[in-house]
Amino acid sequence: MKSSSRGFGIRVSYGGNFGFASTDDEKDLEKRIDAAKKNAKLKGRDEDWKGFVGAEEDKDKRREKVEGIYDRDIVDLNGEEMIEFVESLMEGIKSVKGTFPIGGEVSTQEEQFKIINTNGIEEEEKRTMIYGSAEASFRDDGMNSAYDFAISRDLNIDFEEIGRNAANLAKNSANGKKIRSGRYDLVLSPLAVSELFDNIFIHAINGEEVMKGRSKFSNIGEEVGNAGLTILDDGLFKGGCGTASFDDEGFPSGKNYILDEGILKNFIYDSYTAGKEGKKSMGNAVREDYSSFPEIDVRNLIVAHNNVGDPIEETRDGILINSFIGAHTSNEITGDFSLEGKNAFKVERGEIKYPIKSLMVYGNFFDLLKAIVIAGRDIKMVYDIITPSILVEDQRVI
Amino acid sequence: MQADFYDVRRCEIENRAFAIEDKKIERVSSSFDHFTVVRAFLDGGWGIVSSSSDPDEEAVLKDAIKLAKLSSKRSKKIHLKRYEIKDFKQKIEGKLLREEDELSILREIEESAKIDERIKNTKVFFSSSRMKVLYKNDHHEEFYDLCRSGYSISAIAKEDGEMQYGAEREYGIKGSDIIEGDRPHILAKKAADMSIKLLKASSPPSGKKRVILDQELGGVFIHEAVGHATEADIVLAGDSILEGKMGKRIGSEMINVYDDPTMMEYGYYPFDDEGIIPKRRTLIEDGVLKGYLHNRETASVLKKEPGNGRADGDEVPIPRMSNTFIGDGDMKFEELLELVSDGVYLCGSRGGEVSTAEGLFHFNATKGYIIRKGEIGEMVKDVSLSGNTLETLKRIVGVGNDLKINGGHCGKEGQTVPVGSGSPHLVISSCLIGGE
Repeated sequence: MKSSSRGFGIRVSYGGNFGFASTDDEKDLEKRIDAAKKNAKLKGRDEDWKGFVGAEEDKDKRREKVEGIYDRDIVDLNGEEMIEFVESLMEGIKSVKGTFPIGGEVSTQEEQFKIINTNGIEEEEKRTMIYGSAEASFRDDGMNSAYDFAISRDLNIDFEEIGRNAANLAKNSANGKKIRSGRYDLVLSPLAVSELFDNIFIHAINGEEVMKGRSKFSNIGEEVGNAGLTILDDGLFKGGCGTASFDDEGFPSGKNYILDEGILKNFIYDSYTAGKEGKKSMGNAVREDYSSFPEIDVRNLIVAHNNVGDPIEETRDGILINSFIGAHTSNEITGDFSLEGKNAFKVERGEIKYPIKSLMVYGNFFDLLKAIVIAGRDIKMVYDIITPSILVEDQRVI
Repeated sequence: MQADFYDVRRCEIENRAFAIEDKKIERVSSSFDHFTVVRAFLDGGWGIVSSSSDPDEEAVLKDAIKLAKLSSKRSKKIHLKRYEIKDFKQKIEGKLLREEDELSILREIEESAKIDERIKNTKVFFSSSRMKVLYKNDHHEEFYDLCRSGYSISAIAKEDGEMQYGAEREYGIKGSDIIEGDRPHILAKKAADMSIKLLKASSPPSGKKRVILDQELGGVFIHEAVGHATEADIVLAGDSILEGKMGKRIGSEMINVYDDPTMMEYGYYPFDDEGIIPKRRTLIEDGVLKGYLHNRETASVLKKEPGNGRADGDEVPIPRMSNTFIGDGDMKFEELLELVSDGVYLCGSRGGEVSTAEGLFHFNATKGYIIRKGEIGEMVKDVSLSGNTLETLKRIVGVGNDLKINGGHCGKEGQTVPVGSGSPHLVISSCLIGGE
């Protein structure tokens, strides 16, 4: 399938506030600008609205150009080649005996982003993306499924490997055993880590949520994570999903420490929320597409730990969890979660022993942050979260 | 080259959304989108081209046929069945208020949630969209014009370092007048009241318990755990626990499950995104699996009836639910409580996830109550339930007579569509409950 769209997201600063409207019809532009103006008026005056990002902000920064976000080879792919990629996914699954494919998808995207405002901002950038995913299953007396994917801004994805990974994981998960309830060390794979961070951490570091008292975090400088844990939000990370020279308000991208060796260093802001606090934007205004309102979000959240090793080797009595079922049901405010683990394995004395049939992890994300002791070398880009697998000590499992 | 089948879907969507938080209008936005999707089917392959500009249909069709030819080389050679459908036109008027009036009503609704000084934060979200859809293929043309609106109210209560959240929402096939009347105010108070009561709630004991699910959670269970597993594309991909179970008993005899796009609930549609006029489908009858949900393609493969081919915007129509529910039984709520005797009453849903292949589900209830000797006791918080879908279906030992359908949004393969889900109160003889 092929689809193309183009549209305009309009913000108008008027009467002491701003209004938003969008359209995909250029002829309609004047009318939609009036609509945005009316929307600003409906909202009424807002003392905190200080106008759009200006061209004079961080002038030196503005020259920094990002790398690795556009690959002509992706744009040049034809339908025939895309189908070959899908076949590679399937080949990968078939290479693992006894498994069969549930689905596979390859998609590419070319995006042209342009932002202009009346404060002199005029920025334009082209970006590409390629994505491949495969889901495979293996039957024992029931069904075992597993999933793998990769996403990249340039054409360097091994599609066969994605299929093979999914198939191996499905097959290895067969004939799972039950385990005793109790406390275990957990090895969380990059996908499982990203699910927890995506659903809880990103909420907790959102400057707006902090300001409104809806975050567990309140004080910069507080020790909130394990002393080895460092988390960075980097809008300039080479080849990242969230990488761009500027954010979706036109503010230049930068590299910001969120946690530095366990200490909370920064929250993330767009220009409006930062202005409320008398701060500068952190370059974290993100729009899903032209028709969506810019919202505070991470750019590329990078999870790292001083202690790098092989989390499985370091585990005496623990559980490896590849992903969670229902991570979005976590309580983003308190950090409490009770989640079913998927494709989970018992780990003993540094080795994977057997698959686990069904288990539930009961925990609190903010306690878990303090219990992260080792990071692996298997760094994976899971959309806007870039993380290795991690070892978390002493968690409750049923 | 000529297509074996082609169709064209044109949509115009006008949307507006407001968010008010702590008396401040946080968001006012309005958008206008339109797109055209042309699909061609040739020798078993689909080619689909969508565009947000007003394209030259013939040129786009040629493009779609080219893509179809390309994908047909690797496709199974299925024959797409044709259906005789008459031209159709429908307009459901939704009353639209002036934006100024909508905002002032929403402000009053938010005010209703401020019931106590412990309520520290309140939020009202409203959206209304009008959608015009034109569908045509080589022998007929259909059109509808429809309004969908909805709102949600959430409240956060704080006391002694404890923070809790309560929320209520309502969606319907309605204009923006959905916010008129007493109901939104009652829901606002309910959301606030819940956040306050949860402050004092304890966590439930974990383990296997006898439970009652309320209509909302029962609806979520039937939608997530059973409904998705009846979607024929999932069945054909080998990803459904219900594959090969047609005509077999899969649950308690008390269970009847339907999917009905013709009901005026939030999942209603006059024709699906492949131009098919839909019908009510029986998915489970007296515990026996009776049907799957189909789009044109899966219906052709399995020789069944389509009518559930739905798309989010310009995406591909795939088998989706509409209004999915468990039919009424004959027990009163008091009788269900007596049946449970000692257990937990679980209410509302804070989301959930299901693995359709393994048949595992996990849901979080918004709140619960301990049941002792058939009486409702104290409130509990952070309670989740999980289990195996088929085992759980067999363990339904009581079905109430108080069916209620709630509107919501369902995601699948990155596509979100409006749906209704519902159930009467249900008793499950044993279910894994998680808490503290």
